[in-house]
Amino acid sequence: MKNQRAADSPASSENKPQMRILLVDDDKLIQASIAKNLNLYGYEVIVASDGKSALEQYRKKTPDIVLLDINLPDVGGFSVLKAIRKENSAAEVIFITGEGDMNLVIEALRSGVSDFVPKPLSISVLRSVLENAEARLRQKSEKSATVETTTIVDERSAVPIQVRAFGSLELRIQNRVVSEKDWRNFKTIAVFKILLIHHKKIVTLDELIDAVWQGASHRSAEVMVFTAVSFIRRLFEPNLKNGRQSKYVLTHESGYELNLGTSGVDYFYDVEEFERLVRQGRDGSPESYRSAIALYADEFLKNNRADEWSGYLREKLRDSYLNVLQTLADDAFSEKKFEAVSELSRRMLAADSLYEPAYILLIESYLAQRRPRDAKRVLEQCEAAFRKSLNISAPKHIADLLK
Amino acid sequence: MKKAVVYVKKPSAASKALQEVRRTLLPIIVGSAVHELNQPLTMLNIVSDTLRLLAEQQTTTTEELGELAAETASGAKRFQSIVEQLRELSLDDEQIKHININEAVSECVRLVASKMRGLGCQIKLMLKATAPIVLCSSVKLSYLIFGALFYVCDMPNSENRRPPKHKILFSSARTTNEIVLLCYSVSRLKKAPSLLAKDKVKLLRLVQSLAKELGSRASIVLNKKKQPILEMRLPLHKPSPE
Repeated sequence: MKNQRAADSPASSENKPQMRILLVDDDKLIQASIAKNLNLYGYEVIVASDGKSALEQYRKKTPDIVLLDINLPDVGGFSVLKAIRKENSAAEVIFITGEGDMNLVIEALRSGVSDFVPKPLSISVLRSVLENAEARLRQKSEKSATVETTTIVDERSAVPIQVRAFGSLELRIQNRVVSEKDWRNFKTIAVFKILLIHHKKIVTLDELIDAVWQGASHRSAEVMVFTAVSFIRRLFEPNLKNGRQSKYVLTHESGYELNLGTSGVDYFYDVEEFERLVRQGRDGSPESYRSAIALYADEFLKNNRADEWSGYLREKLRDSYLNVLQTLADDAFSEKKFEAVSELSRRMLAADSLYEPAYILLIESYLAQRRPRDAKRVLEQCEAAFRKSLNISAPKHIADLLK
Repeated sequence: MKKAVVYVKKPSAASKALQEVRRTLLPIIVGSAVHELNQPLTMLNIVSDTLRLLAEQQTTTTEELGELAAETASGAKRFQSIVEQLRELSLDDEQIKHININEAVSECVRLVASKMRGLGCQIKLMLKATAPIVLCSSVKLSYLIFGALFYVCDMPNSENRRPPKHKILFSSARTTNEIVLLCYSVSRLKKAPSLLAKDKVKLLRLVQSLAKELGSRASIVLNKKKQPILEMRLPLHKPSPE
């Protein structure tokens, strides 16, 4: 980070480097009151009233963050943004805009603005936007600091992007783990997850809005989608100048597409690998089946069970997983490998406690081993599971196995 | 027993014109005013948070408190002025008053300038008329000024898109008996937005009928460079000798 200045404000007591903010607003009174307030929060604030002096101040004082009013009396916010981006593509430029300027906001996001704050300004919103900007700056500085150390690791690592979606989402970009706190907010993760579910396919703007911002006004939702997409792009490509040039999140006329490149070369995505192994297994390779079930660590995006958009793929993957387990268990049963049958059946029941073929396989394998007590115990488990989940007794054809 | 007779005042043609102008312009004015309210609201939000912080830190000086109080007062004053302006525009009161035209133009422009700036138009005032006092209804005069502004910058039509960047010039001058208000657009584009486009005729007619009601006239004239200009001539109020 550029500035490691000493500060005499309360916030600096936390040994946090003081951020320098360039505030550009043509209203002198607003300028003064925002500057005073942000000073109290530990920021150093430089002010400018028009685009020309803003650029002069930017060059002279190299602020960390620029708070820029879209409507300036001379050159205008967009020109200032363009000039700043030309000098520093990673600059944090935040637009201040009136509520009715949504078209401008959309245009600004397309022009590569980092974020925006609506007017009338509220300090809580402004502070959270500034904190996000600080987090992004920290990320960029950490990234640039780790570039050298990770180069050697990168050479050994075959894929720069690793995505694991079985269980909780885990994303590694250039061996850097993107944790939950690195995301802007849970809606941004949701947008990423939806794009991931439709990897290499186009997701329309309306689909994203319906899934994540249902109930919000269309215009605001549109802006929020743009903000989320812009954030995701910068997560993958922190030095990206223009969103449309992103390699990973592509803009189409009808929507967005996440494209991580070539599987196995540019990225590893456990779900795609699982599906590939299952396809290979169907062609007669039990080894692939075993590798596939090893990948299925837990349910697909288990933290999003309540979200409708993740339901279809989760069910589909679980069905595939259960089918693979059942096929392997059937093979083991025909080869009289009862221990394997038992283990595979238990895994089926862990994934779905009402999965009937698992109970049947378990009971039949115990009966084949002349262990009727164990078979009866399985039936009791089956009974309890059905009673608990559906409040009905175990299916008759399972109970009949013990008659 | 005497019968009560109720007289219902029939709206004059001019009142109809005012109603029509109001119906056309008030939504735009309110939208612009909401935009303008952002400034005082921002100030009040920020100053209240600053006061809270200073109180927590217990490091406030009297001077600082005085400054913050002044900022709060200034925000509140602007807030009040916008609200009053809106209230006046929504009232049917057509009370005749002495009005300084330069002040009236400045007030009206101030209310919508920030919104118009957001749409790509800048307004430049050149109010050079000395003692420009007129005697008329302030509501009608305000609507005449708004009407002229919106007519020149094509407001109702450009509300949903970014208009070409252009500057609106609003000037005032004084002749022996009249105040001459000129309003025209200087576009940065080669082709300036036309003042005589078909879809703008309705607003021009409304402005003209309102001007007529105020005892003045509004017309399109050409300047030396053959640019169309909206010219409004209002009768100057001259105080009686005593």
